[in-house]
Amino acid sequence: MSITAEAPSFGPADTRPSLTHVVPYDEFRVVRLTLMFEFLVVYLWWLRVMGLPIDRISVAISVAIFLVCAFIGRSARTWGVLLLDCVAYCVMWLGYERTRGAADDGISVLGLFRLKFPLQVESMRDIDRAMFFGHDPNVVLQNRFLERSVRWYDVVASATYMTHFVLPIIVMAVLWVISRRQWVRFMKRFATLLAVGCLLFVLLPTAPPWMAADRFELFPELQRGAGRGFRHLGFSGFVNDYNVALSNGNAVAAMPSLHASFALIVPLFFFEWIRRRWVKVVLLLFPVTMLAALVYLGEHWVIDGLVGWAITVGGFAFWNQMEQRTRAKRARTARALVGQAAAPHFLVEQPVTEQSESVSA
Amino acid sequence: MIDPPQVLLEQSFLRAVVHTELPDHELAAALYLDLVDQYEANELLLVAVSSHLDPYRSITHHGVFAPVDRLWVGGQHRRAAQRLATDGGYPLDIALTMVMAERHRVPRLATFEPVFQQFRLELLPDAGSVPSNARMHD
Repeated sequence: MSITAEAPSFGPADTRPSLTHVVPYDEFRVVRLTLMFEFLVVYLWWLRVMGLPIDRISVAISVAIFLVCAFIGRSARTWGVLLLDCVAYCVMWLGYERTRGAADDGISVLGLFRLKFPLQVESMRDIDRAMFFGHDPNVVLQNRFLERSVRWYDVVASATYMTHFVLPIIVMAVLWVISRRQWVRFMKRFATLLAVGCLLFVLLPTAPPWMAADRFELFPELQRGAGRGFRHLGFSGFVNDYNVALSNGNAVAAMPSLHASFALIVPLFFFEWIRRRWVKVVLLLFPVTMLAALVYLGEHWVIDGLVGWAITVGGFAFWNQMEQRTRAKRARTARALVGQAAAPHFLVEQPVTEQSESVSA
Repeated sequence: MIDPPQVLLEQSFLRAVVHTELPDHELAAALYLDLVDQYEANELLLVAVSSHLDPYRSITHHGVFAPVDRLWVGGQHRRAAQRLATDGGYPLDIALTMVMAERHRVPRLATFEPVFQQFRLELLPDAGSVPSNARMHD
């Protein structure tokens, strides 16, 4: 290259008109913003009166309505892409539900035999006890804090627990509207987490603490009341019976804790836009609160949450690396071909003539 | 908003990158390589209007424009561009670029079209770095 260009610099802003003043206004923008605001009002009303939608179908319906509000007036191609995204989203959840539900019965291998791994009852407890010098964190927390009346920390624990059902979905829906590129980035990490989680559910079916106490009598019975504090606030969970066995709940899918993972994946995703360290620390209090709540409520062992966090962080490391590689590969390709691209076999364009180039303003 | 800043590679810039015989080619290529470096460092995203990339379809995904994402043109964009072209007297391709840049909130353009200098846009190359033999338009 004979010319060495100066480092790209962009001209300063001035008093010239912006494109917004020239380009015809997108009338649907106002419609979209109005509808999204109305959706928010109705959602909050629903939350107060009917409860927080937590079953998969109700959540999916609420997300679908939001997306319709947010995409009205967009191009047919955008709708097509959205439709494909929705299909991928549904396949991901269906795959998750199927695998998770099948985990406690074992997995059928080509219909020949059933692969079933032994239920972990004491191993996770032993790890927890090793980490906490012979104490059971679940028992210690409940003995120390659980009272007959609902205390403020019950409300915090319960509300934090309930965010699991909506927070990642809200993030997905908002990302879908703001930037599909970021939505794809989030979904890669989220789907990886679900996939690894399901694999572990199958390989390592684990009894949660409440079950270890209740059925296996490893220690005195634990109180199970994840919704107690939430109900105390006057809220409830909205679960509609669609007569569809979509949610194949699996009581022994404790390892890893997806509650803990989901609580970490959201702040972790937004870390790259946050410059101040103290804000990051405050955000990280959320997954920490979630894990404390899960242990206090008897839903998970501590090790379940730690493994969930490790998978989440591993997913980020993997995809960050992959995305960097993709950028590097594309950049290498471009660098190698600049200056050669005019070779005829590269192009389907008509030859450039002075006339076709010149444009009158 | 949460994406890295986008730079729209306008039609004249794409053409200058590809066609070695054009007078702007060397400047365009050097600037493009610098933009590619910034793209690799995740400091910016490179975008172009989909219909402007169509002539280079074979080099978009695996070629010189591999780092460039498409801004897909819909019917509404064409209609808005048509209206802008009629009302404002802009050539249709220029009007389409303006519509896409506005609708996708892209404030930075890499272009050799002087017409964009009348708008509040960050242009690349800026006026000072355009060589004197750059194409002029009447």
